[in-house]
Amino acid sequence: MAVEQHRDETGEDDGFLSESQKERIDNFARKFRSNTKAMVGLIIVVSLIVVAVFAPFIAPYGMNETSIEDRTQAPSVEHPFGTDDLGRDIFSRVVLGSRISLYVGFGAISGALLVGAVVGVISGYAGGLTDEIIMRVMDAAMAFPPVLLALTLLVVLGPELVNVVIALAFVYTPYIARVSRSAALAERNEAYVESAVARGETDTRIVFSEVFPNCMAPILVQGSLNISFAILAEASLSFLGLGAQPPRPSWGLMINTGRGFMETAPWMLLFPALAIGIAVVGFNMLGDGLRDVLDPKVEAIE
Amino acid sequence: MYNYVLRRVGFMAVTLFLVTLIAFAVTNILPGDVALVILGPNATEESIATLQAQLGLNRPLYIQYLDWVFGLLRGDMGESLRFSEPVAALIAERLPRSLLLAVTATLIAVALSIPLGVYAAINQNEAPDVTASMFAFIGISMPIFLWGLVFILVFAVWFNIFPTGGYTSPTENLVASLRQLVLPASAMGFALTAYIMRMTRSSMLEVLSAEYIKLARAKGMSQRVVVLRHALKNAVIPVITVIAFQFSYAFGGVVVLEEVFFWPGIGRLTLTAIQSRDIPLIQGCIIVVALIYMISNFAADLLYAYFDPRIRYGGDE
Amino acid sequence: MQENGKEVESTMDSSSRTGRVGRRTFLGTAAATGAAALAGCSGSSGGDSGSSDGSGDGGGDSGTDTESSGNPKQGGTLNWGGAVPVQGLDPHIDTSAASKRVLENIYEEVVALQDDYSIEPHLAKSFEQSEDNTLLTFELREGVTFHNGKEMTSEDVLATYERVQNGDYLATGFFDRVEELRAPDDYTFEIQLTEPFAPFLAKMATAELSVMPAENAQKDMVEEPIGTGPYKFEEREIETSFTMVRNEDYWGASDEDGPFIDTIVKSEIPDSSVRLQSFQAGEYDFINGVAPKDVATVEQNPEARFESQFPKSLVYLGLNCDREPFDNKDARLALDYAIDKERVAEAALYGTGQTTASPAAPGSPWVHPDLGPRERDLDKVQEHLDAAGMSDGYSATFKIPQSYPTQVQAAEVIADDAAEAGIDLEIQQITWNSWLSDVFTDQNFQATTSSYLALWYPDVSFYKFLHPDGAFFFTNWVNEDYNELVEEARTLYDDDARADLYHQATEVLHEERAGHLFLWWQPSLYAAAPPYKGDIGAPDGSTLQFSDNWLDR
Repeated sequence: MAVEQHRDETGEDDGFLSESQKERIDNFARKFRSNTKAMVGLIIVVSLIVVAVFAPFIAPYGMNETSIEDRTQAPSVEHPFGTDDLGRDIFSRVVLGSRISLYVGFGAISGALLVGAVVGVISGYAGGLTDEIIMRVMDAAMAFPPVLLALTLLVVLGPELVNVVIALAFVYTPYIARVSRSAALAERNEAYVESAVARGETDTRIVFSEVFPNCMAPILVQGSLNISFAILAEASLSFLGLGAQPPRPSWGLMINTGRGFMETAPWMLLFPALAIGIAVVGFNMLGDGLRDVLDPKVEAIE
Repeated sequence: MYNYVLRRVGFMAVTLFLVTLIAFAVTNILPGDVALVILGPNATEESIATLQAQLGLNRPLYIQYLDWVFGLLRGDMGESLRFSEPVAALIAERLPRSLLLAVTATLIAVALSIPLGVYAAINQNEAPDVTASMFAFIGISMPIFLWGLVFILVFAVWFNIFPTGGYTSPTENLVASLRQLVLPASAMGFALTAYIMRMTRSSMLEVLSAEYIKLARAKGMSQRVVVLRHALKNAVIPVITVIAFQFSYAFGGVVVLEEVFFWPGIGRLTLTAIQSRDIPLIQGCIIVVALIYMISNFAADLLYAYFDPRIRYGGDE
Repeated sequence: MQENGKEVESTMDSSSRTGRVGRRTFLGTAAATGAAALAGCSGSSGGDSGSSDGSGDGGGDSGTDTESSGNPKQGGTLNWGGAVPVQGLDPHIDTSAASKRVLENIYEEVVALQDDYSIEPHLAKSFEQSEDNTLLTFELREGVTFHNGKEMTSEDVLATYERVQNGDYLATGFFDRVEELRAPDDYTFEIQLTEPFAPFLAKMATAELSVMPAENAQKDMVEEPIGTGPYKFEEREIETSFTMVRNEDYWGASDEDGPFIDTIVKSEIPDSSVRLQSFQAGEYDFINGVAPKDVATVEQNPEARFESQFPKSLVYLGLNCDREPFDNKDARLALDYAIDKERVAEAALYGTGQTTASPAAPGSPWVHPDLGPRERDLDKVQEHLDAAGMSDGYSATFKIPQSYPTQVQAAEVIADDAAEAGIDLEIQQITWNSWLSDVFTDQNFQATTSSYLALWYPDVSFYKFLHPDGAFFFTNWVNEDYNELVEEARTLYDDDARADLYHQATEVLHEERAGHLFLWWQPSLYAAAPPYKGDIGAPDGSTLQFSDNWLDR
């Protein structure tokens, strides 16, 4: 379905959203609400965001309040998730760690969306040699397993959290680009594009005001699915020691430390693992739900 | 179809060329100095410079690149700076082990997920379906290394059934080798199960709602016969492509999994190489891993195309 | 005690003396020939008592008594779970403890370190020093063969020493004071020094002067180890395993002293939890590098033998005195007062270590008797911050080698302590490779942690790290008084006089807050399964000698 800027007889724009656009949004909201998966996913994701935003208020302790006398204590009233090997409260660290996961998840995917969507849509719309070249480059980048590529990039950039975001944005850009390109390809032949061309609009205008908005659906679906990948990737990278640095409470890093205490203090491993699981499940459900709602046939790359 | 394949191969070649560029570029920006690692902290400036010259590290970049690429074409990936052994030999030693792991994991995943997927599809939206779907969801939500750790804890530490890691060659000691294979392959397989299961399920659902199935049912054929004889055959087709993609996903996950289980495959070799700035080794490993990844994706693409009548019987992509 | 320029009775059996895991000496043969060997204690080794028991071991020598549990049995294969992978195989180049632990069984030196820190002849039958201590003459043993069958003569020893002298190897700097090396006949080897130089003899007992066949000495880098030791190199797969087999023709073999075990297979398992788990599952007979947090677990296992050898290494906080903020002495002192060192050591070591203010090995006479680490005092921190002109505190990067989990844990507690006082330390985990290039070579760092092996001769602790000409000088703290003191100490042979100078040097580095802020001494922690018998460890505290171990399955 195409969208046209609403113009009345005088050829001016008529308010921010057209009637048909408003209708579509209502439609979408209705379908979304009735899809259980999407709703559950949304609830989880929103809760996560709330926790992350208010983390310093929710967490009773700081992220690095060491207390050797209290090390590796089992969960108790004072420490609902127990303490770790340096006596720090795990509940606080898990809560604060949500900031890292969401920061990386949203940061990396926003970056990937920014670059990937633009590149992909341009590539799809332009076609021809430009398309071929861009796609080959994207293929080349996708030829490396994501964690491996991110690893190599991190070693070059240095082990800082912001570099993890950059590395992962780089790694996931091609996937977004590919999806955007398919969407743009499909849109290219639509009637509204032809009429825009006939009207004499420039390519840039067509791409950004006409084609782009119609590609948003599949792009967003891919994006939300990729957030969970980014969170998993960050966990793996931190596990390997290349992500967030201690004493930052990255969930992956906590699992790495907890590994040495699997037998004596399994709670050190358990709670961050659960946290990762919940976050990933949430984003996956949201992404799946979105896909169901927007268009079950939309191709997404998993 | 033929044209299609040819074009894809052509694309792959171009992509491969770009891959070598990326691999070379990335490894040459790495900070740190391999000459220093070899000689140790007490080395003098002159000895470091001499070693660097010996290793050819101070030639212009494009010359190093061309040298390397031509070597690749000959099958020569240079010599590991740290281990003083040919890179190709080091990789040839380790690669089969990673492949073994990835293949076994995929087999396990397939064995688990296809029956599960079919079962879920048949009982759509009822308890078994919901449970299986939840199960699958959890499978993809946890990082692979986490499954590895959990399996080690439960089966190796608590119950002491399997060893905690390591590797023995099957030719040396088949039993020990198999025992060591079980946990890592299962952990990986577990993580893969979800995708394959979901694909099987949705594919089955689509097929089951097709006209000819309804017809068969109307004719009075039993559920079982319907499923096994007709539906499964057709449902499996798209699943095969998912399996192929999952294999490459499995191969990609080996880096982290090999760390957890001390599996001396190419994943660990790459990690070590990166940590010691052993540039020829890093380049060799990255290229090989990328190549395998590309080939399995390519195979999956081909399979998909083969089964997609639009492509198979002519016409453009 | 030692006498200069004369042959002196050797000291005998030392395993009982030190009170820690001892090691039988090889002197039986020497004494039997009647030619009393020299106890060349000439100021180069640790003092006479040498009992380095230290008080800080969490475990001590619990477990079965090894020496009286039956007679040694020949044969068997030892499955050893190792911690750090063996790297290079050229002993003159690779200093890493991991390589040394295997190479020390394959190569041997002209003289060897004993349990009581004295130096005794080893590949030499005897040695003597001239009156002025500048000429060392060694009479080499006959009938010693290399693993390739060739007999060892002075030609090989000469070639070995010349290799180090003329090349660019670890011990090369020590040859500055060597005027000439001579091999007047097949079994005599002479070293002519330009002036008395105490550390040289000690160096000769280390792997950095391992004796190799003359042909190998011609190569720039030796990759296939051929030595004279009780074990021969068999094969290895990098980062995975390393195998040695018994040398049937070993010159020092005997029924009492070994070697007994046929094959030793070392598996490389860098992760300490995995290593321990595998050990407890019965996959290994012996593991080294037990993590301090796991000591309790090992001790609770009735079948495992837990051994601790103290001290093993000194861990310190390195501050770059050439760069802000640590170029300012008050800033350094502020940090010193901000850290509760006992707590940090407890956090990382679970009671198995000991804090210190001196770089000298605990129990040695070089340790300052009265000086201890500064206690945490937030008022003093503020005082020094004010004096430094940084009243609101300061921040610095803190580069930690990620392969040392104890250092990482310590770093987190240090950061916590420091943060409370207004000092913000940003932890950055880096690989060992990066540490070598960024921190050590380029000195591109502000704060870091590192460790070095406890060495029994003080020259290493005081000179190598803290004197500008030392081989491992990288924290850039330069102090004339300190330099004079340690330079002089190098030329002295009288232990008491030396000790006095080192005590003064310690006071200087403490007052001026040298760039090495000492954190703790930690032990080597080992676990062994019941079949593994014999002493564990070696006199230098970091390597392992397997020739007196046997398996009783």
